[in-house]
Amino acid sequence: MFRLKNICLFASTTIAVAIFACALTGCGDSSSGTNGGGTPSSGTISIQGAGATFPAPLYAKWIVAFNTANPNVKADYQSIGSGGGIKGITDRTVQFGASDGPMTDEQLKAAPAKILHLPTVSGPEVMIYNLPSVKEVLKLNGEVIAEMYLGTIKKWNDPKIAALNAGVALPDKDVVVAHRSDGSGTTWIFTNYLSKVSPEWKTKVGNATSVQWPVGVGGKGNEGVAAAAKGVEGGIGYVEMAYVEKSGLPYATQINKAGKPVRASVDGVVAAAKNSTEVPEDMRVSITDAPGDESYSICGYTYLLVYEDMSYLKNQAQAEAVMKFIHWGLTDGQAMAKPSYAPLSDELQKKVLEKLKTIMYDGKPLMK
Amino acid sequence: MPVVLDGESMRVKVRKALDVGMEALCTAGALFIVFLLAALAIVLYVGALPAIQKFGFKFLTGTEWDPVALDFGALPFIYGTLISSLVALVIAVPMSIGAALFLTRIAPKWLAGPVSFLIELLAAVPSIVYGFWGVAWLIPFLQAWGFPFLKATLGKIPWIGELFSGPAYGTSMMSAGIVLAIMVIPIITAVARDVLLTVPKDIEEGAYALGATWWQASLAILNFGKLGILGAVILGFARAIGETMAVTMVIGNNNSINSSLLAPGTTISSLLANEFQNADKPMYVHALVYLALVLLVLTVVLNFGARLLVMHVSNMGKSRPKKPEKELSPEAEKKAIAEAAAAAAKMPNIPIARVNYTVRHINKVFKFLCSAAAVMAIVFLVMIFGYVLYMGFSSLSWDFFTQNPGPPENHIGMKNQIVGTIILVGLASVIGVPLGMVCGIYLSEYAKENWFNHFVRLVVDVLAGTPSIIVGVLAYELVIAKTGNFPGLKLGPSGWGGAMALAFLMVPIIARTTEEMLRLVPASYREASLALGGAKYQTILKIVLPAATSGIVTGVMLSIARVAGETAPLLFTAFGSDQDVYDPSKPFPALTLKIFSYAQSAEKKWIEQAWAGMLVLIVMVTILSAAVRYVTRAKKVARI
Repeated sequence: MFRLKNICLFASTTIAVAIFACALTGCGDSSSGTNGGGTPSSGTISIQGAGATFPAPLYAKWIVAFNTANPNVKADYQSIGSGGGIKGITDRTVQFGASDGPMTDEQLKAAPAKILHLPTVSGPEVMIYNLPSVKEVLKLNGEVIAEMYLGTIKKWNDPKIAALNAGVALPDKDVVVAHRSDGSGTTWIFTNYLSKVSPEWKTKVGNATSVQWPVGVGGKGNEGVAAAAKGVEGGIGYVEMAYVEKSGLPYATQINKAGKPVRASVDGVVAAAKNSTEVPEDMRVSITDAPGDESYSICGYTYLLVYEDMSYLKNQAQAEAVMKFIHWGLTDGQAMAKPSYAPLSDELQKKVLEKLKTIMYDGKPLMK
Repeated sequence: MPVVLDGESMRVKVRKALDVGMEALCTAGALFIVFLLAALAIVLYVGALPAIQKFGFKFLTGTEWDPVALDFGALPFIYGTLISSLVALVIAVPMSIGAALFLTRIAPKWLAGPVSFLIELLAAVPSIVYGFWGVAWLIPFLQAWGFPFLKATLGKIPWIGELFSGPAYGTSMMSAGIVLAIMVIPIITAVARDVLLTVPKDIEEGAYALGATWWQASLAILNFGKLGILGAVILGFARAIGETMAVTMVIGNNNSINSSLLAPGTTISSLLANEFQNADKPMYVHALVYLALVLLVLTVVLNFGARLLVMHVSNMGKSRPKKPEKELSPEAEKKAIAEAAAAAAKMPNIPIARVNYTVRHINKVFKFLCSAAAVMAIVFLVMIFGYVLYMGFSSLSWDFFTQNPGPPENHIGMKNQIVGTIILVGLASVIGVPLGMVCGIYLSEYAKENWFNHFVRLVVDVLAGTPSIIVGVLAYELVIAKTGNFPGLKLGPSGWGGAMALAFLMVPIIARTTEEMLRLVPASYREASLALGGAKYQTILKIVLPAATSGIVTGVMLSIARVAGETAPLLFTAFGSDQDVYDPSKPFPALTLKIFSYAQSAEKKWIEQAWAGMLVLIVMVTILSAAVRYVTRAKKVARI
């Protein structure tokens, strides 16, 4: 009964269980509030952000310039995807998140406190297609794209496509649509556009970062979509403009809401932003299917996500550093946006800067 | 249990205490692994509960996966997981056994060492490299040559042709099966080779003495080692089911069931990898966790089935009390002999020369097939290494090793990522290797044949087959999460979280291979040691473990190679960092994370950096494998 072996076994098991129970219930809380920041002995403040892959190259440039101008701050950004950014800011594992698709009402409700959306830049999405036999650049509009993705247009020589492309010899090949298999802001913007131009899409599929696609092949990430479209003759997919060169495929000219054909460009996005509906108070705005002759139809903002009340950081210096970085990005950083991204319009920039002033720390606004 | 007698010397008492301590330590290790699985099951169950309540068992038969309407069904994913792993095994198992036979019975000694090292290197290739290579090279190749060939040959056969019908998409179930097969070959080959090496020579000699051909002798050897080989296949199957990243990139991610292998499909782990971070509604998250739970249950069921198979197979060889033969009367006996003689006279009289000719040719054919299998494995290795070398070499520069990541226009490199990976893998090994070995020692040396120990083995197998992304979720919940059902140590994204996730991945692999290798050490070694007065712990530490060193090192190297190339579990745990910060309590840099992030971007410079990173990663793991193999090489010892 009290043999040495049994005692040792019992003791080691108890210790193991105790450690496990502690791990499961969280006793022995080490760090408080946040991590990865604060002020290490050397005096540098580190701020961590994560999220969307779309603005990652731009944010990387911002960070280098900002870190140089502010040597006591080390900013870091990890591009893990919009979903990761939303999760990160909700779990408070990062100080600022980034997402191409705005957070949904449910996601905002699930967060411990109010999160603000701050648009930084915007950019276009294009439809790349794989038709080696067609030499001309195709024209497509929203309704046709929606029907392709719904599966109602099945062949490339469908009369609806031919109607937009007079004089072009369209082959009798199947339309194989490629879509994102992972959740993404790119999908959010694309399905937002389709929901606006096609009531059938709106009811049948909807607008979200991840939907149940009626037809098509899925690819992971933008280059997965490009690979899927490239993989079969007759493939078509939606990608961020930056991936066009990588895919080696041509991209379609969009016929916008005004009926004008527009090549995807930063200027087209700027026009779309200018002509879009009023920006709501929480800044969650969609600029797809914008009116105006110059507007490009499939584009959207990318947002930075921060809490309205930064007191949870328990570190005023860190909160101020985050504010400084975002402020920098919204002002000096805008000059770095072109040629790949569309900077904010003057009007919107003013609005966002105003929003910055509402961010609090310990009851007082952070930005003076 | 050693009985403590009066008047025993201090020395004896200490020895007995150490014996007890060793047993307790090993048992504790095994119990910890059981707790790990229990924790995983609890975390998953609690997370899935609302979805279980809403969908119940309908979830398992539903075919709709609609994140907007919140209608979820798991059947396409279950189907895809099973089929892709099955295809992988169908391709990999014959090749691996053939390669193992080549390495142990055909290859000359000077060739066997390097070739087996090369095949093991396939395990050193990170899963994301398999994914990117698959997309960049394999799929175009299959589309241009492979699939048309399959359609023209196997596609014409009546029933099997169904599997190859329909348009040949590049990203498909078949592509995923092929990539998985290549990933699984080194595991099965390495373990099978180690098993075959420990088969006693007298099995082979006895077979020849009875007039067996080379091939028949090989079959006799395989039969002797069948339990170990079955264990190797199970380990390979676990790897195939649990693979996340590589499969996600090549399977086509179409959430439907298709009879054709050439159509795109999906698996449970690829869906989790695609959607876990982006699930925006609570019920969506719950459905995903339910899916993870389904995978866990599936792994348990499959492993349980495999265990039953193993027990059945091992029982077949055991002697059972024979029924006493009926005594024959002298007349009946004469009659039986006459009948046997008549039957023998009726058999065809094949000239001996003819028999030899056939036998020689059958032997040649099988030897060729085995050699071809080994050569194919090396061809795969050369293709993959060659491709990574071709893509990444030009981007290697002094900058790469001295600079940290940044915007594409600057001088950038992956210095801190390389250092980070080394530290992470080191930390993970320090935690994982002792834990795994201790558990393996328990299962081999201390475990009696009771239901509990069968359960522990089952647990180890299940954990070995858990997809890396689920292990990442477990590590996240236990060590990092601040909100949610299981607040953990509240570390936040950190190096410790990443190291824990990697350690959780290593432990079952090391435990399994340690157990297998220790079992193969002949009982006579242990008996001799005990007969000479050694305590059990001395026997284990000084006799049994050293005898199994080579095999255990194989297991350790396989697991280190695996975790060095893992991405999914580090995504929310170590998180990644671009700074020169190597504090394990803060977000930690890792090479695989940066490679993953860069390779999927549109920036040319970043993509080049990603390939260079893949090259450096493979080379690092290769050098480590080579170094460890060299240090633990078998010293020339006289065999008694």
